[in-house]
Amino acid sequence: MQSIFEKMYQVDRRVIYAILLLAMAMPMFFTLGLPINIDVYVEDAYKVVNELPEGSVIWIGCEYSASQIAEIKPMLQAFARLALQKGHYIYIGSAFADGCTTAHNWLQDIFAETGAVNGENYVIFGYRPSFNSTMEAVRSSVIDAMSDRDHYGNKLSDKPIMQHFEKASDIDLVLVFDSGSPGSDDYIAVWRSQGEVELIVCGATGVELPNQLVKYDAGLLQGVVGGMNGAAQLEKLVGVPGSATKGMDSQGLAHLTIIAFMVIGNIGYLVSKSRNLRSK
Amino acid sequence: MTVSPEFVTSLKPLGIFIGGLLTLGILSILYKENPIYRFCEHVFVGAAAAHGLVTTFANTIKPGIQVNMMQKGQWWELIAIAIGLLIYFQPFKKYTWISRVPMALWLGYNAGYALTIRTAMPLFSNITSSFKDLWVVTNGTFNLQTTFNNIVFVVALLLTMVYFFFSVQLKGPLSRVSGAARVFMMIAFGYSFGSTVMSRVSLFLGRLEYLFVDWLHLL
Repeated sequence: MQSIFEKMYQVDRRVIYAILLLAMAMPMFFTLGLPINIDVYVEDAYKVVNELPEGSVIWIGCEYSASQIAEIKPMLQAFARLALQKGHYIYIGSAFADGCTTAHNWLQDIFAETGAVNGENYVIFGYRPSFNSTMEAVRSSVIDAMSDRDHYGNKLSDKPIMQHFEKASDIDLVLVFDSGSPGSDDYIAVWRSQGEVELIVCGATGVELPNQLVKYDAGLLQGVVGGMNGAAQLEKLVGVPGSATKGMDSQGLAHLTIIAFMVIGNIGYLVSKSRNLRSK
Repeated sequence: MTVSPEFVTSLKPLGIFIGGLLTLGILSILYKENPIYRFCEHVFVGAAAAHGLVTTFANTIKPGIQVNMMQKGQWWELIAIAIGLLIYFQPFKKYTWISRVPMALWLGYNAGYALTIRTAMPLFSNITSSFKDLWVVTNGTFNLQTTFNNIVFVVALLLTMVYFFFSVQLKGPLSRVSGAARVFMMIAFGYSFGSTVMSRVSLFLGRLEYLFVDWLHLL
C-alpha cells in the first residue's frame, strides 16, 4: 500500500488538471485584484509609442497565430488604442496566414472607439508569405511590394494614408507581435541592420520573452512587452484595463497552484526516497 | 458567387457554438486519448490549411496576377511561378530530382541572405552589449544593484563560453568551471521554462474566456 508521501508525488495528472481549472476559473467570477508591477522594458515600450511625434508612421507586424489570443490580443489592442489616440498612422502586415485576419477582428472595437477610418488612419496589408522578400521589396516601394492591394482586395494607391508611407525608411516605429519565426529577428535583420528603421518594440508571447529580452539588452529592441503579464502592465500604463488585467488573477492563482504541487511532489519524493534508503 | 457580409455576420452565433464544442473536444485529451479529440484535431488542421490556402490565394496570387502581370505587364514573374511549380514533381519517383531545383534555389538564397544580413548586426550587437561596466556610478553615486547584475552577467557569460570551448578537455580546475557554468545555464533554462509555463497557462485562459464569455455568456 502506498504511503502518504508516495501518494504526494504520484498524484493523478487529471486531479492536477481539475484543481488547476478551478484555480483559474474562480478569479474570473470573483476578482481578487492582485497588484501589477511595471517592468522597465514594458515602460520603455510604452514610452516609445507615447513619445513619438503626432502623425508618425507605425508598422504593426502581426507575427502570431490565433491561438495566442490571450497574450497578444490585449497588448495589440492597448498599443493600437494608444497609437490611434496619439494621431499616428498604423499599417498592419503579417507573415502568418491568420495574423491580419485576427488583427481585423480584434481591432474593430478600437477602430470604432478611436474613430479610426480604414485608409485614412489605418490600413491592413494582409498576409504575405516569404516575408523576408516582401520586406526587402518594401525598402523600395510598399505599394509594389503589396501588389497595390490590401487585405480586402482594395487598391492601396487610392488610400490617403499611403501618402505618408512610400518605403521602409518612412517608418518611424515597428511594433512587432512575436510568437517565434518570422518575428522580431526578421525586422532587425532586414530593416534595422540596413538602416531603414531605428525603433523596434516587441510584444512577445511568454515563451518568446527570454529571447526578446536578450535583444532588448543588446539595444536591438527599444522595449518589450511579454506575455499576459506584460500586456496587463501595458494596459495599466495606457489606463484602460482589459482582458489581460482580468486574466492576471487567474494567472497568479494558477502559478501558486503549480508551485504548490511542485513543493508537495518534491517533499513526497524526497521523504519516500530517504525512507527507502533507510529501510535497505 | 459573392457571400454578403450580413450573411456572414448572421452565422457568427453558429460559429461560436461550434467553436465551443470543438474547444471542449480538444480539451478532452486531458482526460484521455479519445476519438472526439482526434476528430476535433483533424477539423482544426483541415480548417487551418484551408484558411492558409485561401488567404495565400487572395492576398498574394490573385493580386500578383491581376496587378503585377496583367496591369504592369511583369510577365517575367511567370518564370518564378514555373520554377516554383517544379516542386510538384515530388510524387513522381522518376522525376523527383526536378523537385529539388526550386528547393535548392530557395535554400541557396536563404543561406546567402542569412549569412550577410542576418548574422552581422545581431551578432555584433550581442558582443558589444556584453561589455558591461563592472563598477557602475549613477549620478555620482555608486549603483550597487547594477554593479552586482553586471558582475553576475560577465561571470556567467565567461563561464558559459568556457563550457562550450571544445578544443580542450575540461579536466581538473576547468571541470569546476564547467560545473559552475552548468549551474548558470540551468538557472537560464529554468527562467525559460517558467516563461513557457506562463504562456501555456495564458493559452488555456484564452480558451476559458472563450467558453465562459463568448459561448456560455456567464460573464
